[in-house]
Amino acid sequence: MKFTIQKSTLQGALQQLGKVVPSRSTLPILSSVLLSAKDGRLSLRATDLEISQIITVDAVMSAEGEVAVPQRTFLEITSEMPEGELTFEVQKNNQVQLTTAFGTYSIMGKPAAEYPSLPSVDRQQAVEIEGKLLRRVIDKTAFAVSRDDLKPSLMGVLFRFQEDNFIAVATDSHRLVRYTYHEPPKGGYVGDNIIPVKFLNILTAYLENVDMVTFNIGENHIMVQSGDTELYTRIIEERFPDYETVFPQDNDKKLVVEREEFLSAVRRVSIFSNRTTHQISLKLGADGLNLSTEDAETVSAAQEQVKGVFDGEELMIGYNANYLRDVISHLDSDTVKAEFSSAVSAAIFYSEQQREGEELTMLLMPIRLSE
Amino acid sequence: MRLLREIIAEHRAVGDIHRMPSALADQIAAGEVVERPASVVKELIENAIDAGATRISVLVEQGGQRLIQVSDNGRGMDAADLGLAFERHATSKLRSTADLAAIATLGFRGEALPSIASVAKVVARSSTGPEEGHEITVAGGQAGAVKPAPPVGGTTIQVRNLFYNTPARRKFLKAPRTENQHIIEVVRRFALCCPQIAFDLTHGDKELFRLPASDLAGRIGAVFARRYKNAIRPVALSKEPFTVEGFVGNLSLVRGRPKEQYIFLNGRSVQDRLLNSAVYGAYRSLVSRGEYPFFVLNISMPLEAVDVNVHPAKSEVRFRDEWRVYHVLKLAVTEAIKDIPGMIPDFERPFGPAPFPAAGGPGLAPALPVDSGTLFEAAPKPAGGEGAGTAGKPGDTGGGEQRSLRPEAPYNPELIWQVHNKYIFSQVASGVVMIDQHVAHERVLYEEALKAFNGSRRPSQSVLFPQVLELATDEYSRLIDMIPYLERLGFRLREFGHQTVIIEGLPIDVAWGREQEIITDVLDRTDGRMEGAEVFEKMAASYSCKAAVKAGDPLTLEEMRNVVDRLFATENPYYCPHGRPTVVHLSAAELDRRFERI
Repeated sequence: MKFTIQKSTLQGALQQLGKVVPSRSTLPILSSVLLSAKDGRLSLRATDLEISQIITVDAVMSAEGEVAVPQRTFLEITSEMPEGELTFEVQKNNQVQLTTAFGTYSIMGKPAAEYPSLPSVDRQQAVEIEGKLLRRVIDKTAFAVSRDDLKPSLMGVLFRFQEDNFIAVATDSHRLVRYTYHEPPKGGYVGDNIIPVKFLNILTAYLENVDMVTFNIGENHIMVQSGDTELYTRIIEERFPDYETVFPQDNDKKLVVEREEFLSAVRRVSIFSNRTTHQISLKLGADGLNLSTEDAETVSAAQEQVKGVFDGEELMIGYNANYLRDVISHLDSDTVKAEFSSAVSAAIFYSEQQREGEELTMLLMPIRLSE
Repeated sequence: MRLLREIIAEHRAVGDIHRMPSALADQIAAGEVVERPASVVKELIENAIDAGATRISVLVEQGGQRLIQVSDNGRGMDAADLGLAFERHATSKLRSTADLAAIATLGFRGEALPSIASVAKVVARSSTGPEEGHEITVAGGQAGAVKPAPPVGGTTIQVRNLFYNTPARRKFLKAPRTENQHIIEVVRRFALCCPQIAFDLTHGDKELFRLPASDLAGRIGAVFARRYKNAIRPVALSKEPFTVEGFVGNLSLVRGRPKEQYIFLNGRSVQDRLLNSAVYGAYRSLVSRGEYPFFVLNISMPLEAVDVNVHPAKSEVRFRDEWRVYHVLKLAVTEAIKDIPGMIPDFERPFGPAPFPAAGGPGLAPALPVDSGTLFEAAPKPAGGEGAGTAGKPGDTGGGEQRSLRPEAPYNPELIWQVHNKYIFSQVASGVVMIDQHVAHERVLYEEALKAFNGSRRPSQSVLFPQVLELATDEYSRLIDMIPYLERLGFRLREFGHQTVIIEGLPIDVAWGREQEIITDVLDRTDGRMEGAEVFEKMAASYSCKAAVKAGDPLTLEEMRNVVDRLFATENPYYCPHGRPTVVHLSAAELDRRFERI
């Protein structure tokens, strides 16, 4: 195996693959990237067994072949090289030699046969989504995904492709985001898939200047192609909780408040909350709301009044300040509406002016405050 | 020589009832008092102490079977007393039934010497002054005449060929090595009971103890190992009419067997479950089941408050008011160890087989039938051993040392790492602290749970998708009883009928998905009894164990700091509710030693 490639091309590919390569793994081969030279094209592949990424780049081929090379070392040396060409050649026993105008460098590679194979994806089922829309969906939902592997179904975003709309839902059981787009995506596919959040975070980087993205949906995997890059992910095969039933129907205590004002008040007050519980309390009344917190451990306290319009019986309700901050900061209108029922039930948060064609709604569960 | 039971059988065969020959009666009675060589040693030392001795020497050969000799410098006996001493129920210590209610001496039954003399060959020499002494020889219960002898400055009793005439008893003797261990234990017991008396013990030509008169702390150091002196804390409490004095060990002296535990009641060694459990009660959350703290305690109380005449061996006692004794003892020990949780256990021989021989071990001849390390520290230290780096202070650097980290910050939030997803390491000025993430979090949750039961309810994070928990009938009704307590911890539960409850809210530290496991474990471990502090402790222990982060859970920097900050804010940061250590300190000096820098 031998090829010549522009340093910047190789460096760019290795950098992108670095996001997939796991930082710690029980399988050592996963810290390598697989290079394949075939049919005049060079492809580089990385995987963490859940997500795989393939980047195909231009190179001048001298001899076909495959080898796995430690991603980190490979990227380090490539980054330090001056602009220009470099030659990559595999010698005996997977010994890789890099040659530039200045010198030669040796890296011990690993046999390609050890590298996990690529999942196969049935490309018959496909959905097309606008790149900009997908970016927005990921931005608005990914934050609410659970990081706790006790509930695997919550470690991804539910993508629900329906005949007349498209819904994305994420929750960690304490808060929930539901994003609805009122047009069905192109392709005619109908179905639910829970997509790992790590995949979505990698994918979002490729969506900046992309008009349309195609989701190729297979039995267990999804493949998304964007230019020279193919991204594969395992679908989380779990049952997503029945989120529609938890949306409250009769929350009769309604608050309207300036978003920025609310958010910055929460930020300030939360600094003084208990570091473990992060609890702050909201006292909702005719003049808007009063935010307060008290931490017996550090003997600190804070309170702030936020002007707003409140309609309903007075209510005292507690929240995890971090969750509340996340929710408010991911809404994007000037004014936020919130609807409450009681101190132990879910409140609904949404933008007063929804964007055209979409509906973004969030649920937040309270903390029953300590005595 | 005929077996005792053959003699009995023969008498029985005759078929009539008659008075036993006195030699036989003595032999049978001897069975109660003289069980093994160590019991002879015990009886003779008791007599020596009762005679006001200030120095007692014990010499044994072949595990005491061939020879036991106890010499004292006490008051001694004149010729008449010496003759009477071997008659049954002859005693100088008890004259009337009234005396029995207030027994101040160790011996009193008047059984010891005749019993011993009925199963061995005994020579007793005694003198009351410097002028003249006497001796008497008794063999198989047959006393010879009292003869003049050179003065011995007290009393010396030689017991030879123990059980020579009772083969059945002899057969049950263990190897000399084992019998000798029992003797050592007896002498150790008296040595701890009476530190003001000098003791020595020699086995054959080996000196096992040479203990000059001392205070109790010094005696403990001499009897066990020098490091013990730095690992004990004084107990002193007076609560009329009781006084408790002595020492208890800190946690470096905790053993896996109930060995080094001594309670003396009015100067008499006693073994009493109730008293032991009072001490364990004080250590409660510091030691686990199967771990035994070190203690040497003297309890004084009015003589009439206790009955020691329960058993011939006199190690059992009965109290007039045993619960009061229990509480005073527990209180005394609790006071003594109340600051142990503030002491951090130092790094103690952690890397595989100890590179340094155990203190006192290597110098003792291998044949010596005692636990190495529990004897005096006469053994020379091999070069490069434990004491090598500390200029003439061997033993002081041993595992018994504990250091208080109070003056310096307990950890450094900037220099903190997770190791094996299991331990948190942090660099501090004096070295490295190592924290077990699971037990640390467990300790935090445990104290928070106890506080929640006693007052402030913990906050509860509501969940969007409440979990349904279905239980068997009896478990369901127990859970219903328990709901108020689980709610204090931060759970929110709702009865749903049909033996199901709905879990609507969780404690902040509990991840969604763990609630069912935690609740059923608390249910299992408390057995539904809803009274008493013990149940709260059990609930808190079960909850904290199940809810804490596990070994293997990766933690973010923020999570590590949070756990460690909260740990050091607890009342007992250095031990988990089961008594396992949460923090181990590796001193920079220890590191230097291991890399042979010093």
